[in-house]
Amino acid sequence: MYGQPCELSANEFAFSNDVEGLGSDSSWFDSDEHRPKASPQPSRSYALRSSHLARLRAQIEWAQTNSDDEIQPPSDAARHCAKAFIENLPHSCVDFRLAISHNGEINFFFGDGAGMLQILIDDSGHLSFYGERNEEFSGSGYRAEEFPYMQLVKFLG
Amino acid sequence: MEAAPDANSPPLVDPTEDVCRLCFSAKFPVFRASGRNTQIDDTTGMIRLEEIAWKDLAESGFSLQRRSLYSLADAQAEAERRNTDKSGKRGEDVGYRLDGVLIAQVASINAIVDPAGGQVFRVLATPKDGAPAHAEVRIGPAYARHEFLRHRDDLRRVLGQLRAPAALDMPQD
Repeated sequence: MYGQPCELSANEFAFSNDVEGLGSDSSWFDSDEHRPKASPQPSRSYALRSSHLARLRAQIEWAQTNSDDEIQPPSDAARHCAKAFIENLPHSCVDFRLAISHNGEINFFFGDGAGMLQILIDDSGHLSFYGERNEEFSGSGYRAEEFPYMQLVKFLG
Repeated sequence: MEAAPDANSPPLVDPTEDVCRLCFSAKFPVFRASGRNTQIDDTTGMIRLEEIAWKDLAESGFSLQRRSLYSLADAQAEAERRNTDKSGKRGEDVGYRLDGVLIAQVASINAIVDPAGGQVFRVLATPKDGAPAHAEVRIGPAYARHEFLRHRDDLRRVLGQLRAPAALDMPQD
């Protein structure tokens, strides 16, 4: 057996608002217990976000300058998605590692080890993500404005 | 060698074979804008996760070499070829060199399975002109991007830590 049936093919644009594991219950944040808390150090999160945006810009410029058969810069769609994603991240979720693949895919890594959350922006400019900490948090084919940011807050705890 | 999974696909590499991923480094930024210019994560000794890209696995293939058909001399010649190419474009020696190799048995890659028990990756024999040992890893066509992310670290772990280039000429375990 090779793989299992899935509604998405490798070359097919995947678009789904179904985030596995966390459901779509908006009432989750209705209680004070679960409501996202403001960052205790907003100035630090502002600095981190600015630093990530600057790093993103620098890495893209570098890839554009050095593109060849081994290095491809991110597409315009991927670049715009990454910028919007970083700008939309809640204050408590700006601590991550940014890395651009040789073929222009943009990666975000939150944490490390078994509980690491990976977020990928492909050349179509859509976000896919996977992480597992007790529950799975995953999905494919989101635009930056559709990404479930509040569920990311919950996942990162 | 096993039969192709479908009529249009290259043949599968035998599960008992070892495959190798060449890893390079350079004096100048040829892999990334900043930081040490290597494809290896210094903290783990394994390939950086971002080096295992979705589009490679889904479309173009994640390149490997079949160990039984490849040698240290082949790998060094490839590093030299790339150094000449990159240095020529940059106008100075970029010091592109072979850092080492990652080696895995094909059976170990085949053993990566999804939660339902389905085989996620397969290793195809894809010889090219002047590169008869070339092979590549592909992810099953049914998998979505987040499923690739779920198993990317599994593939990294199977490939293991960087070994010295000389491992290419050592007999297979």
